[in-house]
Amino acid sequence: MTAARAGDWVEISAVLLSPAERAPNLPADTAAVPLVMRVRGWAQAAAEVGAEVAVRTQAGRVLAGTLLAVNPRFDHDFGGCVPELIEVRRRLTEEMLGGDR
Amino acid sequence: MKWSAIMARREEILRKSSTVDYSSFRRGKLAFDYEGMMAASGYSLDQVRAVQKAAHVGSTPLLELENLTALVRRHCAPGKGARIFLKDEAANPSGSFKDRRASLSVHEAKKRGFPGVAAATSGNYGAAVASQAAAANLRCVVVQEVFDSRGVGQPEIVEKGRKCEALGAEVLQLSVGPELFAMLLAVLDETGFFNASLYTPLSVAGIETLGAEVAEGVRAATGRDPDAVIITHAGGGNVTGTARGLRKLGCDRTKVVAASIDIEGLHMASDEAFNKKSCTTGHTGFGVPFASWPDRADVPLNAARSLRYMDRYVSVTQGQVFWATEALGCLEGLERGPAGNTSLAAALVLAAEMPAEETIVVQETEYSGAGKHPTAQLSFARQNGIEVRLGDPADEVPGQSIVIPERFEQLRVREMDLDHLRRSYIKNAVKHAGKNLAAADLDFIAEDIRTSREFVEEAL
Repeated sequence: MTAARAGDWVEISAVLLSPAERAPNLPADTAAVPLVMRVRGWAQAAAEVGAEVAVRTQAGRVLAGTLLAVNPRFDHDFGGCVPELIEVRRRLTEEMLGGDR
Repeated sequence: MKWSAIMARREEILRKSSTVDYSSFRRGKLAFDYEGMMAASGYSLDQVRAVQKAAHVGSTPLLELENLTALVRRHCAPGKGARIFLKDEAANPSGSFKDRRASLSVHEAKKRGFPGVAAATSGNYGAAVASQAAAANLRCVVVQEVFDSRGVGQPEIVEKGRKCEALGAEVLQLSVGPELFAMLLAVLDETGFFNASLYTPLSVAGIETLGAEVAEGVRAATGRDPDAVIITHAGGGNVTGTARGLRKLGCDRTKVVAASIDIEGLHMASDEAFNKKSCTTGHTGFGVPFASWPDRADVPLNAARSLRYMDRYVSVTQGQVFWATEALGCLEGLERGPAGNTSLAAALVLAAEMPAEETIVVQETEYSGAGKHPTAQLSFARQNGIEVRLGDPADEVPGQSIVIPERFEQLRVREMDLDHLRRSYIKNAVKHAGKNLAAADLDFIAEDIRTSREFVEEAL
């Protein structure tokens, strides 16, 4: 979906601190980039992805930013197979269940 | 909005968002009445238990890990191999011991008429505050450090954010940087919410029940006090609260052992290093700085003061923690999140040093799920250029490799030098208050780092 209607559950993003506004004594890589926020809430107005929109969050605050996604998904998962862990499991279960005890 | 403009109002915002008058406990440049501050939180151990019972927190099972104990005994000297117990804190409402820490803060916020609670945390504590707030009909904001400048988030933290959202909280997700604290202040200022900091007397008092339950559980199972309790250490609250609970139950001879994952060399505030850590807490990046200077937290005086209570502090590698997580799953039938298994990884080594008739307690577990799982975290590590392999964990280089042990004999702990941490603390004290310290300050330091006045004076 590339556009949100008022009332849709959306994710927005905004710069909170430009590099010049950030804390002192940051490592160079962090100091060079802005502090950015992302937050989810209900769109207060219709907007296209990439446009400015305000949201009301679950805590009742109204925050503004660039519309990133409508009905944002979570795409974290269990990852791929890690053969090294399978090998640990094989060795442990063989030791404890195998013929040598 | 500027960082400096928010920080200039730090004291005022913290005062309004708290019920503790921290200034009334100050006794010198550094000295303060720690026990007085803890007592002023106003909850006895039994009152904490009552609040937590009403909030469905605590009274978690204490499980004896017979198969892991048997594994240790196959590999250690005859007569060694202490019985290993595990406090299954994942059984708390939001899936970790952090519910204990959140319970009193939320109870207090409700009692004092705050409209909501807020906390800055990328850990399980966010879900705990969200969970307790939901049950108490309070609004909640959780401020998290989640993603780097590419917009890539640690899967473990993304999951923790999802969980907070599912429990009804607003989740303010931030890119990498220590300004997390300033952004919490801005939220507190805007909302008038209660600051459910991890470092208040209420938060630490909430953990005392964990130490007390460990004492009672081990006594019931063995007829004796636990010989060692091993505690995953980051900000210091877990060590402090658990040890205080053990003492309140009279476990004076129980050794309090802290354990952290070694991530030496990875800068905590670095955008680039952020996603090279394959664990988000329980590591030396928090454990060492918070032990050697607790007052770097989001409260004027930190109630979590780990050097007061540690008898020993050890570190383990990331690879060992993933190994221990796998072992807990396939040998004990318990799938639990990796971070809580830091102390388990160390306990397997320590149990091998201890007599078979003694007991060692791993005092927490945490829930496991998408993102918060060894396969998720190791896959993410590989995507970020970290080498994952089997081998000797001694060869692991944080940020470059994760080496998962091939054999039990490769499990080991690194001793963290407590005197070295004490000297770092004293160095920090001088940085904050200068070299000319009054007698009250010197005595306070000695007490705060559990050493003699002579040690402090010599280090100065």
